[in-house]
Amino acid sequence: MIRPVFADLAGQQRVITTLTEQVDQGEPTHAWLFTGPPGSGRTTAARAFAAALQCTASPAGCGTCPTCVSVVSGKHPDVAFISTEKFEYQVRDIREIITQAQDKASQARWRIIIIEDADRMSERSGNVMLKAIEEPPANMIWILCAPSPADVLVTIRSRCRAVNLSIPSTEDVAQLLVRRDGLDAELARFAARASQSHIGVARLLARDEQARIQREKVVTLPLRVTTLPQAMEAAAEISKLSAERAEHITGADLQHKVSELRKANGLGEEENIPAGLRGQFRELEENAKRFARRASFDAIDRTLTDLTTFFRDVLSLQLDTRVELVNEHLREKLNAFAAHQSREKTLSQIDAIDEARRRIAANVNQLMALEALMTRLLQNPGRR
Amino acid sequence: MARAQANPGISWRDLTPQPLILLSGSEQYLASRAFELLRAQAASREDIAHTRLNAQSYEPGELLLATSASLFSTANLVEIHDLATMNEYFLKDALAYLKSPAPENVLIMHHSGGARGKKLLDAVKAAGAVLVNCQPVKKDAEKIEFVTAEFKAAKRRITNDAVKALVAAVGNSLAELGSSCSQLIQDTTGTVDQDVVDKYYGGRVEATAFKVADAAIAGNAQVALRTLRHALGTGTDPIPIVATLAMKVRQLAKVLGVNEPAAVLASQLGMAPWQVQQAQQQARGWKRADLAACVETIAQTDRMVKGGGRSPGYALERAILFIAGKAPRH
Repeated sequence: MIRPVFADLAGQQRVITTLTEQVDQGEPTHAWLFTGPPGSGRTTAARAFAAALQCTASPAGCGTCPTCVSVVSGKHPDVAFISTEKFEYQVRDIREIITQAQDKASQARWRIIIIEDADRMSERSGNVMLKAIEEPPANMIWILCAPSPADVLVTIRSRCRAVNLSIPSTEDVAQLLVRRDGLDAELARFAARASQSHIGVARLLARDEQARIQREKVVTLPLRVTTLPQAMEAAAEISKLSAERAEHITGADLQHKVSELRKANGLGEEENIPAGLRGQFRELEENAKRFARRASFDAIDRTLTDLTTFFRDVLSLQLDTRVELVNEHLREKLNAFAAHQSREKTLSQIDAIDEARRRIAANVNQLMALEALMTRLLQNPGRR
Repeated sequence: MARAQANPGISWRDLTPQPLILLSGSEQYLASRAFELLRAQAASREDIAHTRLNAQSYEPGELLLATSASLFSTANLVEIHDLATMNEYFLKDALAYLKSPAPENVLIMHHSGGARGKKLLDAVKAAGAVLVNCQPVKKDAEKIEFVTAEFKAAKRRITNDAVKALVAAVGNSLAELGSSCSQLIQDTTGTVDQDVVDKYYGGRVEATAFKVADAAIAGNAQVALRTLRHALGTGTDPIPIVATLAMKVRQLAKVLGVNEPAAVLASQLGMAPWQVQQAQQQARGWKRADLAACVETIAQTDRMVKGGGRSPGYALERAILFIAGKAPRH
């Protein structure tokens, strides 16, 4: 029977069993590395594990006692959640975390530090972490989370006990959405399928109609875009949308930070920035540019992932694999599309999407990469 | 159409001292010539005080100080730079001054463009300011006109061939063109002809990314490669050249085989009508599949010039040869 605190971990029966055993034995390993694809619930698992360890009820992991509740809501004084907004952790940040790890647990049995994005540790900062992970103070437990074991230093990996979360099945995700978020069953199933079991995205899709419309627009692109001029238009539109989204995220944020810094330095809104302070403002702007780049890249990445599902379905129909389609609601249209092109063509289209992703990551002009992609997705660029 | 507005204002050459003068346009060189001209005119009178202000780093009250009469002067020449980035203090003081401008003062302001300070610009225009056109000079015809006027002002003669050769050699930047004119005027005597220009500027050809792209799309590989070498040789960065190629191919791809009037397409695609017409003309004879292949090649090239390949020059040559090879034979 699953303990209540682990109930939100969709489709991770194997992992839950391991963690529950550890909790019951009462002598847990001092360092853990939770890995799993995005959206599989790494942080949720880490949180539930921490709560179960601290829980005083019997059997541990009731999910209802004050300790469980405060850990899960992130308010327990002995359980720290750490993540960075930067591109990666700096050595300074890691030193601070290590200092924090020396504190004795104040209320509960263990002191637990959960690093939600251990993949953002560079080699240098990872090395600083090594000693602390290898020999933590008594009653101290590290939980690191990363998408895959390869994302952290091999020396860190070898000092941690690995827990690998698998991709939950769509049925598990749908059930979770119905149970936890009270969503309509039909909608939840659609969202779980469409997000390919990414729990966070599935919830967004199920809750937000705008996000569904947006996704539908992207997925049906190959059906609507049939000529070269349309392909160029579509590329421009995708690029514009992602830029707007990035701008939206970072523009308001930058303005806020700039006005904060002005206030801190006693400068009026229109006053000129003295030469000595310009560096600080420039740094804000440059950081904002980096955030914007990441935000815009993330937005395009999501778009490309959605687009891939279309061709994945087409290929799966052509090969008659009889697996569940991601875009089940488009079955008719997918069938018609599949009948009009060869399997090789479908494979080359999926390759083109990967190529576009690689190009954008290599700093190729976004619009150029998308245009090249959209023209390669055309079934037939036209005879004229 | 806001885009197609006519160049406003008179030429800087016809400038005479006026109470309010507004230089509008982003061509710094023309603006600096206008400032210089007025300074020279003012220098002939002793009772004129000359002040130079910057609207960006303006401190409150400076304008009032600069425009008031003093013990030694009865009139003031006040140059104000960088109106396009003016601060709030300047806006306030300038609006106050415009309510009662002193007729003996000469206020000359430069606004390089943009929406900042529109309120002030409107007020300046309403107060009857003389508008001087400092828009960038882009067309060859305008550059030729500029060179001719320079020589006329210096009371020198230059042949038509020589003007064309000079524009072709150094016409990329107006400032360079201007300094080349003054060099020729000062260093030579008699009529300036093609031989003289060749002696000073021979072997240089103005090469822009646009010329490279146009030649490639027209299928003229030789011209495209030669222009590319000139462009790279004179310091043009490879990345903007790829961007220009991409833009040209993009425009062609957007209009190819679309049966809509140019005006409709222009508003749909957010292009200027002349760009649509040019693109339609250049797209004639192209096949969609070929253009699609060019789009792919350009993305490859962008990757290559950004570190994916060893030589940006080779990547560009490869792209140009590919595009020119796909172009229709006429």
